[in-house]
Amino acid sequence: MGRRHKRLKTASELQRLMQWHYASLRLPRLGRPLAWVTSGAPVEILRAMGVAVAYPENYGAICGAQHQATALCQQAEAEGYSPDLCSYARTSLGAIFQPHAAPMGGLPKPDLLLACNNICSTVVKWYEAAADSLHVPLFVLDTPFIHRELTPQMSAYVLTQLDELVEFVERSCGRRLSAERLRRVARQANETVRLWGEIRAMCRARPSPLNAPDLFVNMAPIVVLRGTGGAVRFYRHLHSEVAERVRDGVGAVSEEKYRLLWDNIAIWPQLYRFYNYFVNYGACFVADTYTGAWSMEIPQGDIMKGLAETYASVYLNQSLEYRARRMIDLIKEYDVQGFVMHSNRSCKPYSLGQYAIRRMVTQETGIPGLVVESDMCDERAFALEPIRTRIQAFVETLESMGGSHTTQPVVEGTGVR
Amino acid sequence: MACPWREGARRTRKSWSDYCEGEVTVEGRRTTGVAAGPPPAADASRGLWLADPYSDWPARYPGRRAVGYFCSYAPLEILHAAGLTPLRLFPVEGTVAQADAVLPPFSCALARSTTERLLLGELSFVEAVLFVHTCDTMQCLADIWRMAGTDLKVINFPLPAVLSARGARELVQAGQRELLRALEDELGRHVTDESLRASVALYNEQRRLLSELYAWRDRLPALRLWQLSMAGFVMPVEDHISLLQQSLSVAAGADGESRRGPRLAIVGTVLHEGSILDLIEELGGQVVADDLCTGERYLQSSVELHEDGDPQTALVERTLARPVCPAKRHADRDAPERLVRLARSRGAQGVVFVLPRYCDPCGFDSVLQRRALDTEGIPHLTVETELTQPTGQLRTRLQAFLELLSPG
Ligand code: SF4
Ligand code: SF4
Repeated sequence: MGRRHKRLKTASELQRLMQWHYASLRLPRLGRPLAWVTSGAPVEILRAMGVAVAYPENYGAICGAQHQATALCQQAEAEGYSPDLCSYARTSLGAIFQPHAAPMGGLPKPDLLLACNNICSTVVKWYEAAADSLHVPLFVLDTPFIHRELTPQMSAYVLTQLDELVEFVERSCGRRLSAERLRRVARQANETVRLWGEIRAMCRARPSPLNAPDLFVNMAPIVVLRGTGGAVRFYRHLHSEVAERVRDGVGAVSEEKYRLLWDNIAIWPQLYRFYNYFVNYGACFVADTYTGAWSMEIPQGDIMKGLAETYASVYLNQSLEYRARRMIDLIKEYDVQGFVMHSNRSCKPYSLGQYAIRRMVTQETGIPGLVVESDMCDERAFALEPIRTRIQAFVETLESMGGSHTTQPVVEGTGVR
Repeated sequence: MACPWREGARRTRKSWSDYCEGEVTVEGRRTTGVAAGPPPAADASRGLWLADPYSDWPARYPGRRAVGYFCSYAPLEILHAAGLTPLRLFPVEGTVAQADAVLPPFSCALARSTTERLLLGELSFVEAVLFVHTCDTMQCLADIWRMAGTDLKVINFPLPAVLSARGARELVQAGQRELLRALEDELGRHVTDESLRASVALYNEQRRLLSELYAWRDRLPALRLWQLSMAGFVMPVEDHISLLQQSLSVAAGADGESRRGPRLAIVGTVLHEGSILDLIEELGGQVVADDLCTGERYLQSSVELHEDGDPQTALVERTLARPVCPAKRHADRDAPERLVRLARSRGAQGVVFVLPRYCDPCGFDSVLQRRALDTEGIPHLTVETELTQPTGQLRTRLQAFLELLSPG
């Protein structure tokens, strides 16, 4: 951990929580089935049916942060997967092929798989491959992409599949859905979402109490333990610690000079090192588009319908214009002076449209955007020197713009690709 | 008669449309080879058109209103019934410069090359582009094109990703209704039941003729068959039907060359470059089957339209019944099994995967497919393509592969 990173007091609690989560997956589950699910899947239904869940994407991020992902990717490549495919997928498949070489011995073998394509189409193919190797049933929940708006036909389609999903779980592991339990899980999920939303919102303060690595690390429970009491407790503690920082005027970056917005998944193997380049210039990422992707509350009323609409409308399942508008909102709300887009070669849905988004955001806000090419897990895609030079040039642009909000001149990015 | 196509085809190895140059002289009434429509003013301009079907398209088909599309799932019948001429967008060989400013380097050739055309203004004659939901790349491209600041209208078609999902039928139906509304509202084009029936009949006829031609794979050079299929995607269906009729009569007159040599199946998405087919034959192999969205995936299964049946429902049924593309899932028809069945039924001894680089659906599918082929003892070879020409290395690899398959 870099010296320039101010450690949160709740950090050890987070560590314990996540360790407990991974350990609990290995405990005898007394007949409780285990599902592997994608980060955007409606896990509330599984929890309400008494199914334990594991998240290969989170596992991938952990492997990435521990510098283990690249080797696992290579294992997948040896089995025929192209190095151009998503590195979470390759990491996870590599760990299936070579569990002994994987952190924690890989994820425990599931009884069923659930993939929801609201984040990408890759998960469908990845989970098909996993189902093939693990010989377990797979359910794919299809959420049509929202180019303009969520139409009633689209939500009806998703809702129908949620019923199909319940039947699938009943059929493959004899579990029943309890309406009461579903309500409780949804309530807890909403509570987590609310707390996490408030924590992120506190970064509007000057100086910001959190920086990007804090956000990335602390989002784990909202993904992995969404809808559980453990997550609610953790976020309450984090909430009060962050509130305390704001009250005391403690910033994540000692002398906050520039406030930035981050787009795309973290560069896990470089979590502290990469962001410290910015810290050196007094630049703090006060907001991002990634950790907010889990901030969606399930509306009151008919829970299944609410789940269908909520999960169909997640950030990555919406148009580039929508995403650009969200970034523009964040820039205004958080008083941001520049944005950095991680062009993540793993993740096409997140990355292919970034130039279009950058143009729209810069046109409307007048603030510059930097595009950095890398990968969230595969260290072979991280080129230190060029990235350092780009960051330096970008900060110089910020400097020349006066360090605070200017509506002109309009700098179309920094010409950096 | 001697093979009228082989000659011109083999000499030039530039882009797929170049191969059509040799056939401009094929005898015909209205249709002179691929270059249907009014004959080009000069040879020079003809050459230009053939090297790139887009830049000269409006001059070639005056009065025609083009609607662009990418995917073989596009409901062409509906577009046609609206009085539009569907024009499929393919990669065209050439440098990509403009597109680099809007797409990262890890985008597929199809996305990059077509975006280049768009940004160079070469598609300004196209009234609208229909994006059928397929892969992540196309999903992004639809928005990128809409935001590119050109006049081109973008229409989205929400095809389910899971074709076996409960409710998939209703979603396709809703998508078709949406499309009809968009054609009406945005392009002022009305589709009647009658015109839709007529268009369905035309496309059924086109697919029927194509299937007939495909059944004669042993009489036609693979490259020629590929040209004839590709031409159909960039010319009016009426012209394509006449071209196919002519070609069928030519093929009927040709000797059924009793081919020998290893029998291959070709697997991929859009095969935008056909020289590999020629190379296979040159090296003594034969192509007996394909699973390509510019090949059999397009032509298999027709729209079952009955006397008093509703044409829209019939279209939906075909969408759900036709061969599944790598970007789609059908719970009961998985890709490895499909391929093994295809290879077995056609007696293919080997499979050649021609995969565009950065194509995720193919990248994943092909691994499981190769594994299934291994289990069945069917050898395979994988060729990765980008915008550039196949290299000499390909020849060597194919040669070695064919030798492996040749007995003795
Ligand atoms: S392609 Fe992107 S969204 Fe999909 S699994 Fe990979 S990183 Fe996640
Ligand atoms: S399916 Fe593959 S080749 Fe086709 S557009 Fe998508 S990524 Fe490109």
